[in-house]
Amino acid sequence: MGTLRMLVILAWRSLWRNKRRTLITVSSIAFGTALALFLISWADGMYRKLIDSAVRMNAGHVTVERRGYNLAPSLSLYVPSVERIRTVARDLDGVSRIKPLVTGQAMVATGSASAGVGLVGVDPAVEKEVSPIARSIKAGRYLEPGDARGVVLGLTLAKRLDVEPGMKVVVTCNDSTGELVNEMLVVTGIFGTGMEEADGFLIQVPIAAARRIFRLGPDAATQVGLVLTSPDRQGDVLERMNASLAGTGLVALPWQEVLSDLASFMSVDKGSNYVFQGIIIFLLSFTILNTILMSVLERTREFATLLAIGTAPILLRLQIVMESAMIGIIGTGLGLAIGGGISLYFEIHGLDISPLIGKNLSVTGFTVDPVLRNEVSVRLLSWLGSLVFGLTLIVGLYPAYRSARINLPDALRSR
Amino acid sequence: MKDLIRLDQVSKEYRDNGVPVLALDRVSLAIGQGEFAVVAGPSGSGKSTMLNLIGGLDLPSSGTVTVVDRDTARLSGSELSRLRLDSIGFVFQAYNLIPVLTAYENAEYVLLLRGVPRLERRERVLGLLKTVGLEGMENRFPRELSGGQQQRVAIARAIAPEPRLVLADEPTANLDSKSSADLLALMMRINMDKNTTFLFSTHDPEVIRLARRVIRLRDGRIVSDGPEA
Repeated sequence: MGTLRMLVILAWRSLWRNKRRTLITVSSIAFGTALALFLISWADGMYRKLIDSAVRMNAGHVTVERRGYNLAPSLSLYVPSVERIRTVARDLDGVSRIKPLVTGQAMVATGSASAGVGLVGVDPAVEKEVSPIARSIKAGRYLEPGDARGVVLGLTLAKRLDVEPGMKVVVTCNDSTGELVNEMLVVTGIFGTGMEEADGFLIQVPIAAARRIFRLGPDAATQVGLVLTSPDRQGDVLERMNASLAGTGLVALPWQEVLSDLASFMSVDKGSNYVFQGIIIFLLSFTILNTILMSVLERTREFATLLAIGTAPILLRLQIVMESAMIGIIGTGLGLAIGGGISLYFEIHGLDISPLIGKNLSVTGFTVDPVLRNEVSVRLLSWLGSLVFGLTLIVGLYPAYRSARINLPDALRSR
Repeated sequence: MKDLIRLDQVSKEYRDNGVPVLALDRVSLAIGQGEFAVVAGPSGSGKSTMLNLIGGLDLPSSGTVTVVDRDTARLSGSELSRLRLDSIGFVFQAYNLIPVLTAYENAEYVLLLRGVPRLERRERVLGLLKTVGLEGMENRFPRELSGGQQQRVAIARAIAPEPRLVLADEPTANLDSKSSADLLALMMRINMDKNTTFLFSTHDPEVIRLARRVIRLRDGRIVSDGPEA
């Protein structure tokens, strides 16, 4: 214990022998850590917002559908009883909203124009609470549960069809049996999400209307989306849903499979972020290596003395590792405090990047609010802190190895 | 008297820019417990080399160096460390104190390595610093001490664990004559009181005059060994 205490004293005081060099190194580590923390938490905040927007507009964090629907969507692959899913999901911790959807392809026509669309039957009461579409009505109003023939469509599509709220459109499609059907609908509202695909291609009708148009049962849906209180609950909910769906031909899928394009984009984007941050940390490691190695090479005679008077080489190496650890702890701690503080500020107040990118930030067809909020978590602080600290320890191993590999007679005589 | 140190036909060859240099040439020697001996000779005669070999800081090219019944060439690095820690104290020409440790901590360091309990350490170190005339200077760092005071700390460090042998490589070379005389008197007293063996390398005539045995080296060979005439 006494030896360890003495090693700590030796390491700590040696560190501050060259204050300027140690401060520069500590600052470098702190800056690198803070920068990495800010960038990662910023990207995490953006991803969370993107996921939240996408899953709320589509089929939730977890989607229940018939097996195979995801690979080849078809009206013949439907969930026969939404109520059954609702009964199971309602009891699961972490499920915030249950949104049944009936999705199919259709043609919308007015007297003067027509367009191919994606027709989505929704539960207006649920959509009003979760979907960005319900909150982006630019003219008229969103659907109400009692709208038997109501339809909302996007700004771009409305312009193409030259329709306004109150006007009629005719929807033509194949129903679930393959029969061609027509239905006249009344435009109740026009939405503008800023998402090209949604505004130009999507129309929403009450789910009862969609079931009627596609000739599905009164409790059927093509997908049942589960919106969760937190994406972190996804694994648990998936597991329990799939357990209860066993043998029914239905399956619960994560949003990453349902919205695979978005998941792939995020994966690639995250990868490139990691490469960038890896470069920062790699450069950082050279600063640390330089400091520790210089400090070791300058103290050859001192190390020779310690070895000569009976210090075991392992203790000497431990002292150098301690010096690296101390630099690492101070630098990483400062970096986490500074980076965490800045990130936390922007998590609370948000960072509006609209002056840089225009009004809407669109990623793989999904629009994200340009006021981005960092997302700092204990998990992020722990793994980033451990990574940088671990790196300082690893980088300190070579100087530590070198410290005890000296020619004692020569080193003792050196100045 | 049992031999504490024995050198049998010891040679040491260095390479200086690729050129072989014979620093010690088939030297044989025995030093017993409690001796106060000096290795004297001009620069380059092999004094420091001999002390380095005896201290296990270097190994012979041929021959055997036995210290406290142990052949240094047969010991591993950690065994040599242990031998030095347990049995040998070092005093260097340039003091070689650890600059970031106080006088007290410098002297305490070896006791810590040997696992001496805290209270005993404190008692021993304070006593030693008093013995070497540094009472009240325990908390000074080496940079705050004069050369003579630093060398006294070095002696306190060397004798703190009560080693059987103290090797001192030109310990008075950087000191004025008064400091040198004080230091020698101190080491002689320790030699008498504790029966600690002292082996110096020096070409300081005062040190040579006081030694009870003078081993003279020239060109790596012993040219005389015995009391100075």
